[in-house]
Amino acid sequence: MFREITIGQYYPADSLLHRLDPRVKLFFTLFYMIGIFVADNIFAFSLLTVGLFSAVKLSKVPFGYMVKGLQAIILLLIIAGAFNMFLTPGQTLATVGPLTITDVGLKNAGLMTARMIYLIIGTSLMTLTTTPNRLTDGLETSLGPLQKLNVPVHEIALMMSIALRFIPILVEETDKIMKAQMARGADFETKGLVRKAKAMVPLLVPLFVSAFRRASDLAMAMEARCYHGGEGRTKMKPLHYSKEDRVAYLLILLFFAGVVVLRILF
Amino acid sequence: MSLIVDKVSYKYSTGTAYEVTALDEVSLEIKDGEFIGIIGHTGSGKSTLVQHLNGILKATSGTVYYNGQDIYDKDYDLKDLRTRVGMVFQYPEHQLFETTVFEDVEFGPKNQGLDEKEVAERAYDALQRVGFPEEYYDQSPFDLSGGQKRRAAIAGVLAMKPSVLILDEPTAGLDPKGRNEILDMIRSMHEKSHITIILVSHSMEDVANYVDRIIVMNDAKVFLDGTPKEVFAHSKDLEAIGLAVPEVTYLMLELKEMGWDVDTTVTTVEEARKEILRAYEVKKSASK
Repeated sequence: MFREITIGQYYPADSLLHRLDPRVKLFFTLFYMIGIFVADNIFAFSLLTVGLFSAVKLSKVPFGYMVKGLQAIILLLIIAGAFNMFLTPGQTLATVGPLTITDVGLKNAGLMTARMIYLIIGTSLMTLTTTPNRLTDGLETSLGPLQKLNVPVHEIALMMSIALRFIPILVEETDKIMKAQMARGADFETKGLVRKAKAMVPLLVPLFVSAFRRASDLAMAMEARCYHGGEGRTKMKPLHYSKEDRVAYLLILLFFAGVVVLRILF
Repeated sequence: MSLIVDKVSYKYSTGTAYEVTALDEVSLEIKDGEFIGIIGHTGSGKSTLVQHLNGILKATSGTVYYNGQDIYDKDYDLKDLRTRVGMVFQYPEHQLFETTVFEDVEFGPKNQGLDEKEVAERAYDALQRVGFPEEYYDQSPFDLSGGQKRRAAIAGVLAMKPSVLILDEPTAGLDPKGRNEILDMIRSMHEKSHITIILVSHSMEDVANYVDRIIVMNDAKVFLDGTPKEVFAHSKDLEAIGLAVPEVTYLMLELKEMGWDVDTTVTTVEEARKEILRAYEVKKSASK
C-alpha cells in the first residue's frame, strides 16, 4: 500500500524535461505556483492547464503514475472542497438539509480543488524528472546569493536532499515492518479510531528506531569521509546552462505573463 | 498436510518503469517435517517465494495450497494461516517494539486471542527454546546485543506455535559464533518438535550442514531441487549461476583429480574427514 506514494520520487526516463537544468525547473515551479494563485478565472486556468499538460507530455512520465500521487490527498480535497462549498456566504443556489450551496462557495470550492490538484501535479513534475542530486545542486546554486545574509544554504540543500533520498527507504522499511508484524498476527485493518491508533504502535516504534539508527549511521559515514560542509567544496558535475535552458526560461516568463494578462483582462 | 506452490508468478510494481518479475511460474511441494534450504543470489526470488507461503504477498498468478486448501479462497482465514506458517524476516530484530523482551514475545500469541495465562506460558516456552537468558526477560529489547535481539525476535514468532517455520537469512550480520549458535538452535528445534523448517540463505556452507533438501533459485525460477548431495553434484552448473558449493566439496574434487579414490559427494567437514581417512587407509594398505 505504501509503495503507491509517488510524491518526491524520481522517475527515470530520457526526456527534454529530464535534461533541463534543475535551476530552470525550480524557476518554473516557483512561477507556476505563483501562477496558480494569480489565476482566478477559467481563461487563466485554461492557459495553466495547457502549460501543465504540455510539460507532462514532454516529461514522458506516464500520466497515470503522476495522478497516483493525488490519491494521498483525496480526503483533504474533499473536506476542503466541502467546507468552501457549504460555508461561504453568498447567493443561495441550492439547499441540502441544513446546508446551503452559494454561488461564491461553489466558485471557491472549484478554485480551491483545482489549485491543490495543479499544485501537486506541478511540483511532483519537478521531483519526478530531477534526481535528488541535481535538485540539491540546483537549489544550492539558486539560493547562493542568500549566503551573504548568513543563510546556511549548503546545509539546507543537503538536508533537503537527504530527506528526499530517505523517502523511498522509509517507505520500504514501513512495508517490511508491516509484513513482519502481520506475520505475528498484527491487524492493520481494524475499525475504530482508538484501536487503529493502538495497532500502529508495533509499526511506528520500530520505524522510529530504524530512522534514528539510519540517521546516526549516515552521520558517521559522512564524518568518516571528512565531510565538513559546503565551504571550498567543488562539484563533480557543475551545472551549465545550455541553449534549451535559455529557451525554457523565455517560455516560462511568457507563460507567466500570459496568466497575469488573462487575470487582468477578465 | 503440506504446502503446495502451484505455478506462482509474482511481479513487483506492475505497470511502471520499475516492473520486475520476481517469480516465474514456480511450483513446489513442501511436506510436513522437512528441513529445507532455499538458496539463491540476491534478487533470485527466494525471499519473494517464501513470503507467498503465509499469504503476506499475493501471487500475480497461480496459487498456494495449505493442507489442501487454496489460501486465496475468499473465506480462507489468512490470519490463522500466519499463525501456522511462522515467518522470521531478514533482520527480525527490527520488528521489536515493546518495552520488555517478554512483552514483545507475547505480541504474537496475544493476537491469536489466547488468554493471559496461555500467552505468558507460550512466551516463556518460546524464549526457553531459543536459549534466551532468563535474567534479560524484563529488559528493553533495544538494550540487547545483536545476537540476543535476534533470538528474542525469533522467539516472537515461535510463541505462536507454528507448524511450519520460515527463516529468511537468519544469520545475516552475525559473527561466526552467533551464526553457528542460531543454526544449531534451529536444528535442535527441528529435531525436538518436528516442525517443518524452511531456511532461506545465500550461503551454501550454512545450508549444507543442516538441511535435508536444497532448493536453488535462479532468475525467478527453481534451478535445482534435491538432497544436498544431489544438488552439489552439479557444482559446474552452480558456479555458472554464481553460487559456490561448500569448501569441502572443492577439496574432494581436487583430491579426486590428484588421483585419490574419494567420494566427491560429501557435503560436510565431518563426512569429508571420514572419507579422506578411509581413502588414506586404502592407499596405505595398497602400497604395502
